[in-house]
Amino acid sequence: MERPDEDTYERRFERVREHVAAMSRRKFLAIPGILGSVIGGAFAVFEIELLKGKKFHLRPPGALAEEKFLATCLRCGQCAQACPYNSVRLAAAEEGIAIGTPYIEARRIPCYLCEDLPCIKACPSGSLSKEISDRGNVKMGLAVIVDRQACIALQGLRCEVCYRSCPLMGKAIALEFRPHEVTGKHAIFEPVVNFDACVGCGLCEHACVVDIPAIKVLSLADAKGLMGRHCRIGTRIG
Amino acid sequence: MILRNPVSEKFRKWLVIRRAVQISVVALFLLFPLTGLAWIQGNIGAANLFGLSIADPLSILGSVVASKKIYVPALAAAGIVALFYFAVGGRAYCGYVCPAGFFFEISSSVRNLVLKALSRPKRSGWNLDLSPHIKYYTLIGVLAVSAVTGIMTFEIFSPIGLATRVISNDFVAANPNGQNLERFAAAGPSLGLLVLLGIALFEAVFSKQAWCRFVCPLGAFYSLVGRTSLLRVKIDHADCALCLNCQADCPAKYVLDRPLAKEQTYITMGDCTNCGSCIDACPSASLKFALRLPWRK
Repeated sequence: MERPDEDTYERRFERVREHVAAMSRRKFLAIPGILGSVIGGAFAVFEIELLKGKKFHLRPPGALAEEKFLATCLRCGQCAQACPYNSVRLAAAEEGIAIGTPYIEARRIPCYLCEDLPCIKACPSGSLSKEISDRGNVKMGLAVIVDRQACIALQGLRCEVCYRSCPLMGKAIALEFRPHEVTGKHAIFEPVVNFDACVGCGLCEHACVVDIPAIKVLSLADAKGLMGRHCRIGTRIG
Repeated sequence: MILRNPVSEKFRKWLVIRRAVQISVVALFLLFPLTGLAWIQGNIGAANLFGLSIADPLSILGSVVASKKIYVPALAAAGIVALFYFAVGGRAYCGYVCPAGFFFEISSSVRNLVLKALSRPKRSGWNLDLSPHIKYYTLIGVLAVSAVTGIMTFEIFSPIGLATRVISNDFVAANPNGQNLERFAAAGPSLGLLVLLGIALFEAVFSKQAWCRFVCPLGAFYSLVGRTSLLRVKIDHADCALCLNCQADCPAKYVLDRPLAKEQTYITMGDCTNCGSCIDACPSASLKFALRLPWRK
């Protein structure tokens, strides 16, 4: 807009009013906008559905099921700031739809399962459920011996490291003995995870002494089977 | 930062205040990660301020729409913030608080430096001008996609989220020990930082603050809040000489159209960020902040 100095006030006012009138005559084209957002929205829905549930993230204690978690987590990082062990980190942009959400890399720093659960207390959105007050009720995932050949205890060495690192020693991971069939005089101390007690904190995965852990925390869906309801077992163990 | 207005020769009081607030907000969010002093924890999406839980209202709206559930503490946290911006002007968030807005504002001014280096006039070069209505479609779009997919959609691509996590997660750890600083040095800039720099580069070349002006759904949300806001710029027509210095400095020039044409005494359009550039530019002190009842024009 040009403003020559010799301009009078009246002329300037007239120009301003003409401009306002011209602006109000200008119609915003709603149809391209609607069309654009429908196409963009459909593309976004398609993309998000493709990316959903591609990867298991070990979430902090009390996390809702993954879908509900992604629907409610505000990605504010207060759980990460509350964690005294730096276990909780926020996912980088490379993580796609989970960007900014908290996760735990057990092999790096596991969840030490604080008695007072400060991460749950810090969560403003209820994504880490306040209903969990006892750390025994946490269910982040389940520890599974994923590679029996890599587990040195199963190869006959005396290891017990995962068993002893477990905060619920004897309950979540127990040792079962049986004779070593090759030597005939030694025993194999097999670590066995009790799914009912395991909270999925990852201390075992962190502690496992082999190069790539033989015990890993998996998602509940990946780890857990379901016995058919028609099965009747009179001698059920555990 | 030029402290005096090149046109009206006035000291830019509101620019200085605004920069001080913008820097303080970033500093406040850095305080805990760097020093462990827990005045404010969390980030711009949701935070704990001296024990008071506050949250971005659009973020909470997104989570309600995505999860189809209402979590009362989060709703209260968002309500406090919405009320605050209802009082101080909706898009005051954009002008004073938003770390991404601050970053884009500064990075967009690179444009002026480049033009100066090429000895071209200040407002020349590409200036992509889109409709400010686009952002309302983005707002409806992100909420609709959140509802359909059950995933909080805006959080996936939000440069505000990226910026706030670059502050609290990339450069420093999300905890008092600062461990991520080493990780950052080892891994180089994250994808989030690159996306931010990409937007900044686009804006510097093609269109100043394009994200904030045309696209941002959070801006659209606060624009709606701002329509009835209590604190607004008031124009005194008696002293106004219609020099239009105010409009020249305004980042959203159309908000001044109707007040200047004497159709209104307050800036009522939601896109006004209460940045005070117009007040700083006015040589006759015809503009000032005033309390306005939501229905007054």
